[in-house]
Amino acid sequence: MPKACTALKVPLAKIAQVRPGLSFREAIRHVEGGSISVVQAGDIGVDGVINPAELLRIAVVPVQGGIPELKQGQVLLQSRGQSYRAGVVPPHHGAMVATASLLVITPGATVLSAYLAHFLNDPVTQAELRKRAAGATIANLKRSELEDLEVLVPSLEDQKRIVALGEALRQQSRIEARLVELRRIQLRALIEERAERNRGR
Amino acid sequence: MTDQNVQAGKTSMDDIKRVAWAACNTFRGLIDPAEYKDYILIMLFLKFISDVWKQHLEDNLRDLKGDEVRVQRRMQRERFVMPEGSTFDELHAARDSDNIGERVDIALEAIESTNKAKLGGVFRNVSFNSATKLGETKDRNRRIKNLLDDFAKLDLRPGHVVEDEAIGEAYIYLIERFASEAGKKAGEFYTPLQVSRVLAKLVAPKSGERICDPACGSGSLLIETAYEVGSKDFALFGQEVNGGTHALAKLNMFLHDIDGARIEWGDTLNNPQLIEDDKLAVFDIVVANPPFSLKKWGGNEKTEDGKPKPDRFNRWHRGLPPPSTGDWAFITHMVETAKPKLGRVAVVVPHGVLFRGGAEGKIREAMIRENLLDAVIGLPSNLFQSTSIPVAVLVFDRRREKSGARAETTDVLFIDASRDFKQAKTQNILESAHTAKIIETYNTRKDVERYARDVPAREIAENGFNLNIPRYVDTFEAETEVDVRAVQVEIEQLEAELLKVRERMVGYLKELGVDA
Repeated sequence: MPKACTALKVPLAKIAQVRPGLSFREAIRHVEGGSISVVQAGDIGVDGVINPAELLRIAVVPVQGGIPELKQGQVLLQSRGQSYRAGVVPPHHGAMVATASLLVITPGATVLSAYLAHFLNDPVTQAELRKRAAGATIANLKRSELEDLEVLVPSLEDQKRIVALGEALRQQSRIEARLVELRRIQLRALIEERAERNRGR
Repeated sequence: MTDQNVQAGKTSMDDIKRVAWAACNTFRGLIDPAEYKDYILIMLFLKFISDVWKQHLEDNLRDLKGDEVRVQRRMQRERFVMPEGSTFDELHAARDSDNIGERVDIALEAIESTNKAKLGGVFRNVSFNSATKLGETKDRNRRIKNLLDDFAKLDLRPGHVVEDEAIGEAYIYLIERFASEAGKKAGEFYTPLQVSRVLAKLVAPKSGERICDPACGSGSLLIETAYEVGSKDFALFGQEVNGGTHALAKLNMFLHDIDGARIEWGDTLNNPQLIEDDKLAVFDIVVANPPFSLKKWGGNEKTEDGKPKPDRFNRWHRGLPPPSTGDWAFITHMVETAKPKLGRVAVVVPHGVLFRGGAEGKIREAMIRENLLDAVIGLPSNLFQSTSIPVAVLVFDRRREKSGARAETTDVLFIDASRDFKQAKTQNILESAHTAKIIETYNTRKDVERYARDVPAREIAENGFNLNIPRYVDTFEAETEVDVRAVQVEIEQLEAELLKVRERMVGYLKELGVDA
C-alpha cells in the first residue's frame, strides 16, 4: 500500500491526549450557588451538545491540589454503557470538571475538536468502541483502548467541511421535524374550519 | 480526616460521613442497604456514647484526683451509662476474638438494660452475631472487625468534633444516603429534607409547643420541624411501626441532643401508643409523611358478630376509611390528635386523596364542612426516592373551628407548585426559592395567577368537595387559536430555509469532491 494510505488512520494517542474524568467517591449532590459545574455522562445531549446552564453545581472537588478544570474545545466521551456519545466542552464561566464516567480528550494541532467529536459519534466508530469496551457488569471503555482507536484524519480544511456538513444535516432534520408538526397543526385547524363551514349549510 | 483537621486534631462532619460511608463497603452486596444501615448507624451511636464516656471518665479522674469511688458515683449520673466491657474501645480491643459478633451483641444488650429508660428496645432488631445477615463465623468476624477498625478512626469526644451538630447531621446524611441506595424501600424510613422543610415551615411551630409525627420513620421530619421552633423549647412525640426504624428514630433524637422525645413503637392506626389519661394525646403540631394508600391498614376488622370493630378512640366518626386505602385513616388520626381549636396539621398525600369518592369523599366533605382544611399544595413529581408520583400537602388548622382564633377564615388556599423545581439526574429538587414562594403565598393567602388561589368554601361545595388542584388553579396556558394562514407562512419560511440548507450541503459536498 502507498505510504499516504497507512497514515490515513492514526491512533488517537498520536493526535490527542486522553485523561479520565474526576472520580467522585460519592453521589454528586447539587449545591445551590456552587462555583464548580460538573459534567456527567448524561449531560451530553443527543446531538453532542453540553448546556452549561443545566449542569449540577458543587462547591468542592474531592481532590487535593488544583481542580482538573475542563477547557473550552476539549472533547468529552462517555466511557460506560453501550453507547459512547461525544461532545465538545462549550464556552463557560467559572470552573467546570468532568466525572469519571467521561474521558477527557485534548486534541492536538492536526485535529479539530468538532471533527473529533463528529468522528467519535459516527455509527461506525461507535461500533468499534463497543468492541473495545470491557467490563463484568457494565461495559467500560478504558483510556488505553480509546488511545488505540484508529482515527481517520482528513486535512483541517476538510475536517471543517465535514463538521459543517454534519451540522447542516442536523439542521435539515430539525427543520423537517418542525415542518411535519406544522402540517399536522394545519390539518387539525383545517378540519375545524371545514366543519364550521359545513355547519352553516 | 483532612490534613487541616489532623493538624487541629478535630473531627469534622465530613470525616464522620466519610468513615461511616466507607464502612458500608463491609456490607455492600452482602445485605440490602435497608438492613446494613442499622449496623452502621448503631456503630456510630456506640462510638459516640463510648467517646463521651471516655472523655468524662478522664475529666472526672483528673478533677477528683483519682478517687475511684467518687468517680464511679459521678459516672453513674452520665447521660448514658456504659457497663463494663461494653465500650467501643473495649470491643475494638477484642476485635480479633472468635466470638466478636456475640460480644458486640452482649455489649449492646448491657448498654440497653443499663439505660432502659432511654434505650429500652433500640438494639433489639440488630444482631451482630447473625449468620443469615453477616455470614458464617469466619466471614462475620472479619466483617465486624473491619467495621470496628473503620469507626476506630473517628474521634467523637466532646470538644474534638468541629461542628456542634456534626454527629446528628452526619446521621441524617447517612439515612438520606441509605435511602437513595435502598430505592423504593426508602419510603419506609425517610422523607426528603426538602419536603420536610416545606411541612415544617407550613405549620410554623412556636416555642413551648408539642410536636408529633404519628408515622415518624427515622425521625428526620420531626427534627426538621423542631428546628423550625428556633429554640430548644419544644416537646417531640412520634410513633413508628417498624421496629428497626423506630430504633433509628430514637438514636436520631439522642444524636441531635433531644433527650426528652417520646418515640413509641407500634401501629398508629390500630394501636396508638401516644396515650394520655386513656385518651389520645393531643398536640399543637402534627406532621407526617404517612405510607401512601396503605392497604390492609386494619379498617376491615370485625367484631365476633360481624360488625365493624369500633375504634377505641372513636376516631372514625366522620366515616371509616376504605380498608384498601389508609390515607384518610392517617389524616383523620392526625386531625383527631391535633389540639381542638389550636392544633395545626400538615400531611403529605398522594393526589388520589384529593378526589377519590366513596367513604373517602364523605370524610373529605366532613372535614371541609367543619372548616378544618386550610390549604392544598401540589408539589412537583419525583421528589421522593421511593416514588416518582407527584404528591400534595394538605394543611388542616383546628383554629378554624367554631370559636377558634381563625373561625372567620372559611376559604381554602390552593397552591399549584408542581412546576417549580430544579431537575436533577434522578430526582427533582425543591430549591430554597421554591420553598420560600410556597410559604410566602401560604402566609399572605394572595392569589397568584396560574399558581395559587384562595377558594371560597362555596366553590368547593359546588365542585362536590373534589379538591383536584386544576379545578381551582388554572395552570393551562390556553392554546392560541390556530391561524391557518400564519402556519402556512411559517411552513413557507421553513421550506425556504430548508432549500438554503440543502444548497449549503451541496456546496460542502462539492468542496469535498462530490457532485450532487
